[in-house]
Amino acid sequence: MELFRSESMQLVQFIVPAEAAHDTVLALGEIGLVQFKDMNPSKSGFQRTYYKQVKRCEEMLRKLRYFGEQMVKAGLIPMAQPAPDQAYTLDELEAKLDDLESELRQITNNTEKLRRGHSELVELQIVLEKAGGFFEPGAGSGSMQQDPESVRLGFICGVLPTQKTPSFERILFRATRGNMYLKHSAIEGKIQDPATGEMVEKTVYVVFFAGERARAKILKICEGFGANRYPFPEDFSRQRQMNAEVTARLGELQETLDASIRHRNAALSSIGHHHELWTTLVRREKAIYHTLNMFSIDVTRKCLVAEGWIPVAAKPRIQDALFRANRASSAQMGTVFQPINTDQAPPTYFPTNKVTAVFQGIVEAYGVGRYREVNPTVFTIVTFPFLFAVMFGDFGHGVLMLLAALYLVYNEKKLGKIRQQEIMQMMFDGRYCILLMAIFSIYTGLLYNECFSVPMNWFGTTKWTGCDPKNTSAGDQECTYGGVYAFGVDPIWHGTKTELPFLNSLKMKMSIIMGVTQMMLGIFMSLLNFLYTRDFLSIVCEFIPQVIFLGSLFGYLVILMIMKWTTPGATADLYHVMIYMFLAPGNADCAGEGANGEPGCPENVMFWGQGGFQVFLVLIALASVPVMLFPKPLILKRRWEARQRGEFYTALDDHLNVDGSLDDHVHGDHGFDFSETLVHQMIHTIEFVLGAVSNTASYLRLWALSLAHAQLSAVFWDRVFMAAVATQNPVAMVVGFAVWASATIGVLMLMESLSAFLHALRLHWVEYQNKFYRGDGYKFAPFSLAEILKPEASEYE
Amino acid sequence: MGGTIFWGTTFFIALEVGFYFFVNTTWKAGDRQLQHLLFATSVFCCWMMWAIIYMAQMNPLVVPVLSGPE
Repeated sequence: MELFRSESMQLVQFIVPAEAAHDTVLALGEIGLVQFKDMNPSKSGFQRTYYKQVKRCEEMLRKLRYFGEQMVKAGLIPMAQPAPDQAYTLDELEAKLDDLESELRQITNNTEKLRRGHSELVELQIVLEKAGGFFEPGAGSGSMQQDPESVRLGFICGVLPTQKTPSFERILFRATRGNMYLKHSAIEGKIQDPATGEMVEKTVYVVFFAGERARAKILKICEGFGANRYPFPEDFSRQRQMNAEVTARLGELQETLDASIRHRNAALSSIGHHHELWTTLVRREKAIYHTLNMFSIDVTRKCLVAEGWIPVAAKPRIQDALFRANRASSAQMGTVFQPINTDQAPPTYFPTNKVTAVFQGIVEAYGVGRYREVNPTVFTIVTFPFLFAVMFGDFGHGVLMLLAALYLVYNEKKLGKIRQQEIMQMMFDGRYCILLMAIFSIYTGLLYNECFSVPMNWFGTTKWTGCDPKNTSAGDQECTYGGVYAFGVDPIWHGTKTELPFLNSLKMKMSIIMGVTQMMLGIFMSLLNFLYTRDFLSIVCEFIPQVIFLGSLFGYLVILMIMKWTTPGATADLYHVMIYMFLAPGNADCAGEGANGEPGCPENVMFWGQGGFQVFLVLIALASVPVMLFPKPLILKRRWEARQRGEFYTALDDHLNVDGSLDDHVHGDHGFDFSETLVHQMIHTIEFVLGAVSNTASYLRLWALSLAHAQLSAVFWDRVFMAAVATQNPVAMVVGFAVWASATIGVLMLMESLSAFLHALRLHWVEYQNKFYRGDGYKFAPFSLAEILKPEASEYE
Repeated sequence: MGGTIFWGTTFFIALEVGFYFFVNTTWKAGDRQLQHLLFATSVFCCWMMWAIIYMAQMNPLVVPVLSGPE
């Protein structure tokens, strides 16, 4: 089963003739199953062989991004032409991009000049219209015209942004000490600013002043405020003449500008047809050269040496690709492809499909598995949604969730193409997990006999007799036992006074049983790890005592629970039994504690010889603790000493340590630190012994969450919806339904499901995985062009 | 009563046998181990929960008390 252990990996060496290097990397990148090792980790980026090529690719990408920006500015959508009319090599493309860029920049510059001229003319035209208005009243009074001997007032007119007008006026006033006169009038609507091309609100101004010095000052202030100045003839006839000229020039300029923009858009859209193709090509080339930079160059510079991890199963495909790439580039030498032996830990690689990927992701969020250790994902695929459903169990909520999951799964092709919002994307990626969670929730909902907290009678009416829920006038009625409901919880319990004591007892015991079962599964998973590495020492000193410890304490508790359920009339207090098992293990019936020297708790005796059996269990549980603690470090020490004396040699297997152990720090040949090993073993033992208690208690969250879910949905149903129905008022009923529906969706379906999800996650990460999962490997990260060229990857460049 | 446990368990075993053949006919050989394990685990989980809830009701210590008028 490929998901159970990670793929076997092999470190291989490629010796590639330099002329075939590019094609070889391209072919390997298309397969995407080689993780290249960096052969020159000490060299910085620009000391590497293909630094120039990478740099060139980056430059080309910059140009392509520039084209992209220009297209966005021009409002064009880059559209890929279905069939590329010609395939460029990188050099040709570089030249082409160079030409295109300079052409585009020239066009853009010209257009920019034209646009600036155009908007300046527009401003001038407005000045001519508006400023004329300023002068007309003055002309009417005729003071300037009539007395040529008087002091000639100078004036400057122009346009400035409206929001700067007040401060402009203030500065002018201060600079000229009030010896000026400013008139301004806002232009309706926004006009284009010649300098920036943005649309802004502007105002036409005219400043009158006296004297050359004031003029120089005002000119400077105008410059500082970005106020454009325009000539304005005083003579009325010249004004009209100028206005006509400006209008004519504006018309011409508009035409030229339009033509120029058309020309630019045509150039851009012709780029747009190839833009995506080119970008892909350049990014591919960049990735290839980047990879080539990790290769080491032979002294003769005739061939490149690369090392990398590959899955053993992919060897034939890789060999085939190497051969073909070599042939295609007509290299003089063949490519050498050979495995190398190494003692480095290989990467962990699980080929997943769309269903298993999400669960593998859940496990790897905790830690990437060590190479070839058993993968928790296999059981997590079922137990994760199942434990979720134990907490979330409700038929109606399960059906709602199933509908959502089916929608996502059914439309996965369509939805997969669109980039979703972050939360939507998470739900989409986890769609198969949600699907399984929903299916199990429906099943557990049937067992809990709850549909939106309403009991269903699908498996027959209640087996209890002697009470009638419809007869509410009879006072408290106790029902009479009449048999077991065949599937799930008897519907009579819903809403009774004793519902909670019954369900709490049931769900608490169920949580413990499920927890012990899952933890036992975890311990047996560690057995699989030990068997795989032939680590018999750990089987004897870890696996067996762990099974005995957990089994003799909590396994015994589980058996007692089942016995209590199945024995008629059993009223044993299991808390009492468990506690007194340690305080007085042989005395199961509290002998001599009752009145007259009789047993104090005879009901706690469930079977003959319980006292003796409990003594035995406590003894083996206590005995297993030192077995976990001491022998393993001592034996490892002796083995190491024996090896130091050269008493025996062991073949260095390629993936096993000398002593067959997976533990790093007992590497035979790298020295052996006894105290460190002992401390490690102590921590491990204490963690397990305390964990056996605390982890079992931790599974009670299954009960707590399930209780919370059932109570919340019952409150929403009874207090909101049923209360509204009871009023018999249609409006109240509609409002009540709306409130109930939104509470069901918002609180139960979203918040409660999230909390159940997180608790299921914790139970798997901590309680289950800490029994066997080391999770200290590193993930296989192959050089894959498909991965690099994914559209979303470009955002991270 | 023991009869229901027996027949219920038989039902779940039959379900698993059914899934066994379902997996064999749905997936191609060499690719089935994971599916077999997943279905078996699911059936086991479902059986366990059903059995727990059934057994918990076999000898009830608490009886349902319907509350009368308040």
